[in-house]
Amino acid sequence: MSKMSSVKRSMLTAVCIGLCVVLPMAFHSIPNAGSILLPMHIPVLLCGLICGWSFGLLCGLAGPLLSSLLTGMPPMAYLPSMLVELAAYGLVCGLMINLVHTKKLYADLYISLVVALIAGRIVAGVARALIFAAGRYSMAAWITSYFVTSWPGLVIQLIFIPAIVVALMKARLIPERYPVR
Amino acid sequence: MSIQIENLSYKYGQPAGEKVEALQDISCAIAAGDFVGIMGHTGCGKTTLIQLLAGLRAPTSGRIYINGEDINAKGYDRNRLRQTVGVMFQNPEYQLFATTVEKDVAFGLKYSGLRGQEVTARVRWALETMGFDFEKVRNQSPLALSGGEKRRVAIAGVIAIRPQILIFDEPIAGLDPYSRENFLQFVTQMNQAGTTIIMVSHNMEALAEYTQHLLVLEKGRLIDAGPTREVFIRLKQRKDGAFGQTAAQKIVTLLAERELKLPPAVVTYGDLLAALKHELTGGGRG
Amino acid sequence: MRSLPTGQYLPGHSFLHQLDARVKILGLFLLMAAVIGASSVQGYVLVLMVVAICIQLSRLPLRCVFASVRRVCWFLLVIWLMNALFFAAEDALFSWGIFQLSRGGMRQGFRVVSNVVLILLLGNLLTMTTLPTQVTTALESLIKPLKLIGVPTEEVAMIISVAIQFIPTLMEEAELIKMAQIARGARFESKKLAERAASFLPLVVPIFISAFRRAEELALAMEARGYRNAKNRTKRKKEPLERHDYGALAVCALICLVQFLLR
Repeated sequence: MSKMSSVKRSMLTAVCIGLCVVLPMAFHSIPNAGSILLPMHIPVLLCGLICGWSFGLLCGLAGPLLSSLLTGMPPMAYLPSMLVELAAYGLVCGLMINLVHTKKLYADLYISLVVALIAGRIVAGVARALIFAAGRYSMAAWITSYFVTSWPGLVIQLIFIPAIVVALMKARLIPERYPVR
Repeated sequence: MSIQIENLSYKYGQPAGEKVEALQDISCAIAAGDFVGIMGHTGCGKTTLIQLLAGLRAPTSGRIYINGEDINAKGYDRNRLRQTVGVMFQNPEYQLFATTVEKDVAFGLKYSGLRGQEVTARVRWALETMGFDFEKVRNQSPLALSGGEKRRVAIAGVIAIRPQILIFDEPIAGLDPYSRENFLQFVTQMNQAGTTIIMVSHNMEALAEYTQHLLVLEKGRLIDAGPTREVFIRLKQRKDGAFGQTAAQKIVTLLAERELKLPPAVVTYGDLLAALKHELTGGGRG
Repeated sequence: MRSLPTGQYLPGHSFLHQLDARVKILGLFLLMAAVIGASSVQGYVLVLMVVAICIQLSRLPLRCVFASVRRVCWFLLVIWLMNALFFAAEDALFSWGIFQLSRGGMRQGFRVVSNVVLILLLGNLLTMTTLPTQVTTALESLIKPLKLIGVPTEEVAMIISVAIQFIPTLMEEAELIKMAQIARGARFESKKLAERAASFLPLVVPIFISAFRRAEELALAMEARGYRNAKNRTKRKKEPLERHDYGALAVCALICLVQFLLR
C-alpha cells in the first residue's frame, strides 16, 4: 500500500471524498438502505487503509463537510460528531494498517478495522458528551448508548471493506499487500 | 414477446429546478423476434428509452406493453420482467463484482426459480456461448481478466437469464473490428433462435447490415421508424444531412458525382455489390 | 449531464448574501463561541438578539431557517432527557436506579438544547446565504496558516477541488451501475443484517472499482504532464475584503468579547 506515488494517493483520496458525497445519494433511493448502511464510512475507511493515515484523516474531515454543504446530508446538527468520528476512522485505520503485519491480508484488515471503529466510536461518544452535556455520569451514558445503537454498522463494515479491498487488488488498481511470488 | 409503446414521455428535474423533457410522446410497436436498431445523436433520449423499456424507470406519462401487459400497472410482477428483459448498458464490464466468474454469471439467476445443478448448467451454457472454456474460467476472478474477456463475462451474465427480449446500449462502441464481427454474429444467432433484439448504435453499417427495423430519435422525439432499408433511404434524402449515411450510400453519392448512377435503394454492402454487378455486366445499358 | 447540487443555498441579495464567505465562516466561529460562553441571563439575551438580527439581515423566509431545527426536534428531546436524567446533582426530584431527575439537570438540559438550536440557526444562515463553492474556496484560504505547522495546504486544496469535480461523474456512474444490477435482478431486501449488507455488494464493489479506475487514469495523466506537487499551480486571484466585511467581522469579535466579560 505504500508503493503508490503521492499523486496517485491524492487522486484516490479525492475520489473517496467524492464518494462520501455520492454514496449516500445513491443509496437514498433504495427503500431499505437507511442509516444502517452508514455509506459515508466506507470511503473513509478505505482511504485510510489504502492511502495512509494523513489521507484518511483528510477524507474523514472533508467528506462529511462537503456532503453536508452540497446535499444537506448529514444535517448540520450531526456534523461535528460525524467529523470527529470519521476523522478518527481515517486516522486510526491508516496507522493500524502500517503497524499490523500478520502476513495474512484479512487478519490485517479485520484488526485495523475493529480498532479504528472502536476508537472512532469512543471519540465520537466523548465528543457528543462534551457538546451535549457536561455532567460526569452523562459521559458514560452517552458513550454506552452510542455503542449499543451502532454495533450493526461495525458488522457491515467488516463485510464490505475486505470485499472491496480484495476486488481492487484483483483489478490491479492497488498493489497487493502480500504479493505471491 | 411483442412490445407496444404508447405516447411515452419522460421528464426529470435538475437540482436547480428546471425540468428536462428526455422523451416526448413516443409511440411504436416491435414485433416478437424482430431485430430493431435505435439510432440518434448523443442526448436524444436513447438510453432513457432503454431504461423505460426495461422497467428501470417509470414514465411520466404513456404506457409500455410487453406481450399485451402494461409493465407499469399495479400488480405486474417485476420479477417476471427481470427474467423476460435482459439489458446490457455501455461498458458492461463495470458491473462485475463477484469473487469468481461462475458466481457473477449466476447472479441474475438468483430469483429465476432454478436450483443447484440447473443453475450450473445454465452458467456453463452462457459462458460457452461466449467462447469460454467453462472449467478453466469458472473459478477465476472476473476483475483480473482482460478487457475483452470482462465484456464477454458481462454478456454471459445477461444471457444466462435466457431473456426473450435483449436490449443492448452501444454494444460495439470501442471494439476492434474482429470483436465487433463476433458480437454481431452472436446477436444474430440469438435473434434467429427467437429472441427479440433491440440495439442502440451509432454504427451505420452494423445497423444497416443486421437490423430489420429502425427507430430514429432526435431530441426526445421519434422522427422516423420502419424497415431499415426504407429508413436509411429517407434519411439520405434529408436536406440537412443531419444523419450520416452508410458506407455503401456514401459510395453511391461519390459515384454519382463521377457520372455513374446507381439506384437510391442501395443501403448495404450487399445492395452495392448487386448494383455494381448489374452495371458492370451491362445489365442496364449496352 | 448533471450539474453539482447546491446544498441549502437560497438565492438572494441581502447583506448576508453579499458578505465575503471567509468573513461569514470566521464570524460563525466567533458567534458560536459567544453562544457557548453564555452563562448569565444577560448573556443569553445578547446572543438571542444577535441571532434574531442575523436572521433579519438574511431576508430569508423564517419557515426555511427553522425547517432544519424542526427536523431534529426528536434528537433535541433526547439531549434534554439525557441531561435531565443523568446530571449528578444533590437536589434530585426522584431517582430510580441510575436515573436521577433533578432540577439542575433539567436546567442544564434547556441550556444545552438552546445552545444547539442557536448554533444550528447560525450554521443554517451560513449555508443558506453562501454557495457551496464559495464556502470551499473560503475554507481553502482560511487553512493557509496551517502551513506553518507542516500541513500541505495547497495539496489539500487541490484534492478537494478535484473531489468536487469528480462528483457529477461519480453520480452518473453510480446510477448506471445501480440500474445494470437491478436489471440483472439485484434485490436489496432481507431480514438478516449480514445478508442484507451482502446484497449491496453488487452495487458497492463496482462503484469503487470504476471510481478508483478514474482516479488512476487522472493520476497517470497528471504525472505524464510533469505534475509533481501542488505548490507550482497557478493561483486563483483572491478578492480583497471590503469595508462592510471588516465591519461585520469586528462586530462579531466585539459580541464575543462582551459575552466573555459578562460571565
